[in-house]
Amino acid sequence: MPTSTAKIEELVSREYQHGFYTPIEEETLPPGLNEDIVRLISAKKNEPAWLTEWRLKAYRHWLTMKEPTWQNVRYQPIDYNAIHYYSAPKMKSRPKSLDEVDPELLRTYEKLGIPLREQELLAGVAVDAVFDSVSVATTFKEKLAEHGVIFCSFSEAVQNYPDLVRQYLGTVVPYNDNFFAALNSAVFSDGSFCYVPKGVRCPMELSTYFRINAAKTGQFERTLIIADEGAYVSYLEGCTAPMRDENQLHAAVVELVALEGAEIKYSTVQNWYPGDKEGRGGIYNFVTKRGICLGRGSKISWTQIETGSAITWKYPSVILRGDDSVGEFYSVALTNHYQQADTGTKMIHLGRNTRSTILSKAISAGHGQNSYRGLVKVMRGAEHARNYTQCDSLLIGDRCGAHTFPYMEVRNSTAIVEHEATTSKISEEQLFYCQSRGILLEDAVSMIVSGFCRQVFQELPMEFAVEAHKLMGVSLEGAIG
Amino acid sequence: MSMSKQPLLEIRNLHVSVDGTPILRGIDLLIHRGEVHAIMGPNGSGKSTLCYVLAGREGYTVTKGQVLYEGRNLLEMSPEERAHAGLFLAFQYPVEIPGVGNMYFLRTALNAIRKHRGLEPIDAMDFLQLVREKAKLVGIDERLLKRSVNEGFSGGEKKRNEVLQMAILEPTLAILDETDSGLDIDALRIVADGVNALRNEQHAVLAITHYQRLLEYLVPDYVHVLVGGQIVRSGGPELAAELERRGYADLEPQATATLQ
Amino acid sequence: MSTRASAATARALSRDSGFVPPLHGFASYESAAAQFAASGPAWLRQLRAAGLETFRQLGFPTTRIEDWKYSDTTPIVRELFQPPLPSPETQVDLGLWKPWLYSECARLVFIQGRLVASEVAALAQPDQVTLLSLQDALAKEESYVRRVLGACAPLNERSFTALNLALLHDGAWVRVVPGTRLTTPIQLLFVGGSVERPSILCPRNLIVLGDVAEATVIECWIGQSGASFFTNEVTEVVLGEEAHLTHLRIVEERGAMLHLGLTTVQQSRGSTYRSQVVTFPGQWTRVEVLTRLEAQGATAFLDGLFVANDNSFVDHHTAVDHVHGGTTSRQLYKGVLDGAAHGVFNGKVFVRPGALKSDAQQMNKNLLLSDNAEIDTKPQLEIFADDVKCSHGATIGRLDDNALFYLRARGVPADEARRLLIYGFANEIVERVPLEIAERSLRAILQRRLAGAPQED
Repeated sequence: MPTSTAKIEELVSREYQHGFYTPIEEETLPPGLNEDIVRLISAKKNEPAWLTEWRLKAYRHWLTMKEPTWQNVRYQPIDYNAIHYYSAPKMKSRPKSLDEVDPELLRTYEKLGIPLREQELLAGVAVDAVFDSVSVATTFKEKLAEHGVIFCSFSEAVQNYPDLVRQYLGTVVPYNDNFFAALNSAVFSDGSFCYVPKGVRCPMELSTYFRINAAKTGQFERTLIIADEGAYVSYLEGCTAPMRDENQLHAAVVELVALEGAEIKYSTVQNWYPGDKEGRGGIYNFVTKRGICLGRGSKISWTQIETGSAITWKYPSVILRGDDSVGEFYSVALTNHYQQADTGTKMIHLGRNTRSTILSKAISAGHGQNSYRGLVKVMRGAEHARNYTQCDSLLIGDRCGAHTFPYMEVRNSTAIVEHEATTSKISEEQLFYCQSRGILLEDAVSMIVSGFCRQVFQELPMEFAVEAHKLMGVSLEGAIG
Repeated sequence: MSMSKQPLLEIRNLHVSVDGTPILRGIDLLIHRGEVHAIMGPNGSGKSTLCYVLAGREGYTVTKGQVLYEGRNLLEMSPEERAHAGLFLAFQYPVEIPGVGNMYFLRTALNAIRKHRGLEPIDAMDFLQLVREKAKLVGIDERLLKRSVNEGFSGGEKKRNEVLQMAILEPTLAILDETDSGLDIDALRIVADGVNALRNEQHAVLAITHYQRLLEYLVPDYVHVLVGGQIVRSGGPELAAELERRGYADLEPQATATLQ
Repeated sequence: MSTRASAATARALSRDSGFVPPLHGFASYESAAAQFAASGPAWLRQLRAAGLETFRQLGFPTTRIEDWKYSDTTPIVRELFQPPLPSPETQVDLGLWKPWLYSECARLVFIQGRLVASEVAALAQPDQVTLLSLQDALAKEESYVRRVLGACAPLNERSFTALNLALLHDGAWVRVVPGTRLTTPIQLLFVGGSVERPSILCPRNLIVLGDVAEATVIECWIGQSGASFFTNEVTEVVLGEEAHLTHLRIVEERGAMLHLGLTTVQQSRGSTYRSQVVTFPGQWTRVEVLTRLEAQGATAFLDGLFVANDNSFVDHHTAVDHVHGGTTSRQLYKGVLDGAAHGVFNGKVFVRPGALKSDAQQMNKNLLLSDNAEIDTKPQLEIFADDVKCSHGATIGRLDDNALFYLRARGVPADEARRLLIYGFANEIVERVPLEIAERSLRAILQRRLAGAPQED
């Protein structure tokens, strides 16, 4: 009845916990975008000419493109000339070790729960810390190098492994793929680069922690992960930002390449600032993530927990080119207050016996609007392709919305494609049942929501699963009641 | 009924409406620790309403009367407070909670109640052992424990799961809402055994049932007949057998009100 | 920049140059419109003018419009379709269409958009129902017609609806008075095409059931063999409180026949709309059913079956709008695609804010029988209320290998086993057809189309 719905709503809104700002001296390029800015960013990173040219090509193409309007989200037009495209903490040169890193930065990451000193870290996780436009530290590089695993910031990779970067950059997400990908290709700042050589099982989890700090700055990271034949890597990313009344743009591109028999597991816990209870401020999260299963028997698995951002627009996808390759997408997306999410995936089946699984759990509370949008495409040659999709929505309160837009395009008669979707709310019966067993209302709600998300949480690496449970509890606060 | 000690549950002239329609029309009932009471009655007599009011479900309006539990006003307590205070309702239709593991659910409930009793949370190994032992007692397959709460359980499995919860949470007052319905004889005996195991000086049971069947295994100290929202007759176990023979037909509330 | 999501209600179609201006056919449509423009009462002439103006502005939709993403209108745009020539009033021999004349039905027969036969003698309650051509209805009960025409098929972004209105000439008018349970089914038979020139037909049918009225209406759309024509039909249905309509629509076309159908339904409290759409497409077919559940207890059952082969294109759109709470909808659409056919299903369930206790289910199942066939399916839910029960599902697959093997192991030849299974797949819809003669007729077509399906009866 209404009283408990009101209680549920109250429970699902707590304050954003990572909303602080780090007062640190940053070097910021003037706002606005033109070829000079693109060249300047490239020059700051001491990039080879081919990369500068690639950026310019992307920029010129971007000028001819229109911002997409098909997604089910509403926002004021973005003034691309009011955004700073580069901002970085002032450093003489890139620090050689953590001792050279500004202690203020280290404190920032400690506050976020990500200590960068290796002895303080969880033993099994290597971290690349990206602060606004630059990577400030990468841990465990030496240990990884023993196994031949390259894990560094994208900028470093351009300097140290230009051939690898040149071979794969833009092969999965071309510079002209879409409006935001083109923008990113022109102005991308930093991100992570990872290469796992043939037959190597990466000995630890790799992770990147993205932090937006400076005001009126966009973050345009670019991540490239290559798993060579028979390699395995599990990669995690986390994101937070300060609380501000204005919106900030985040337009990232992630490219994954899995060669024969390789497996990449990519997990995201996205907790960018979502804006306040009235819908003021928050990050515009327009992200292009795509992987290609190039070789036979390769596998790419995306898991995402999306609780932050005012607007989320992302469709982590897999192109299943290699025969017997596997694509997976597991998602929990939560929108509370005035948050909007339009997220899902694309599974493009090209190879024979390719398989994909999509599991999407959307939770809407407050005035939140949550859309699942997914494409399953089976091309003519994809004999015996198989897809199973399940999309469930949970509504909390009567002012939010849940939407499902699946697209299935099948051109092969041996394919089997299945889609199921349901919409439900937390039922009075479930709550009462829990309460009558002595479980407090807020615990009951968080239990039921976690239960709803369980199949997705199970896909997360252990360290992140705990984090995700906590995050769900926090993000839902205020939505119950 | 013994009046020498404070009753565990005291219902005084309880009137309850649902959506403006009166369902219970003046219930009086005294339950002491150590007693087993049975309430019998035809469909629509208000049996489930009584259960839900006692457990604190929303949507039931008490228009008159009082319910005291250990001398406290039960109607002011939230459902979880009632559970903490030792009141347990075995649901007629147990709810499915997808994704929430049965074990996890049980442990959360047990620890919530233990916390209220000033006890430490139960150790994981001890809990596992406790559940195994009780599960064996009520004949629940261990596979069911690993599944989500009641999800995909058969009717009988759901009922047994309720009895398992009861066995683990050890309530002071257990209310069984037609726990016998839909059970075969073996299951019925197991349920009754589970309830009988609780039977001692500290606990009390209120069994709501449509049939006399359960009462053969769970011999009550008192039997009450609920018709039209009123208790029209009370007596010993022999009353149940009488009802089985004669039915409820001649037990109209007005005609028999004086019997109280 | 601020991010209010509250405006995220129904998305208006993007006008982002998603229409192409009417090219080839336009001049002929203009002149056709001029031909009809002067006829009928003033309000109707105004409606036609408004339709023409909207069509001029919109032109034809392109695949850049989300709702037309998979429906390429090129075959319509590139052909020069002209309105049918006024034919001399000669006696028409209905014998040619004998299999389509369902016994026990009252019937209107239209050939090339013109009423050629009105067989109302079968009506058991002739005083309780008006069964007329739209032209005759305008003469006899204009005020009724005026209230209904255009009321539930508004123009907004629908250029083909606008074109239908611009060229509106005739159609069927079915009105059942309140409280009448019509025992005689009504059949509307439309035969399209002449061999002289490719024609465009824009019939408009109106079906009105008063409170507590009940009726069964069967529409059959067929073509003269070898003819090329484009039917752009609109049917508007208005159901009073507790009214029940069973509405079967069969499209059986072939060759260069193009068909675009739109049925829009308005449902009052406690009304039931039971729709069955069965299409055997020619070159290009798209059939849309849109219903608005406007009050408590309104219920819609939308069934569909499409069986396509060769190079045909077939598209089924549904939209169920749960405007009010306590409403129920069930959709089941099944597709069988062989040859190089291209099938589309696009279904939408919309639950408005506050429409609590809405209960919606939608299912689309497809069989792909050939590697050159193609299916695009897009079942959608848009939910703005929490206390609802909504689900949808879609499957795409081929015949079950195990079942095929089982049949063959029992001695059924492979080809026949295949047909048997396809027949079984389609049967779930066919067996729900209200009238036995219609059901038999559908089975016959299925057998023909599937070439050698097992005999029944």
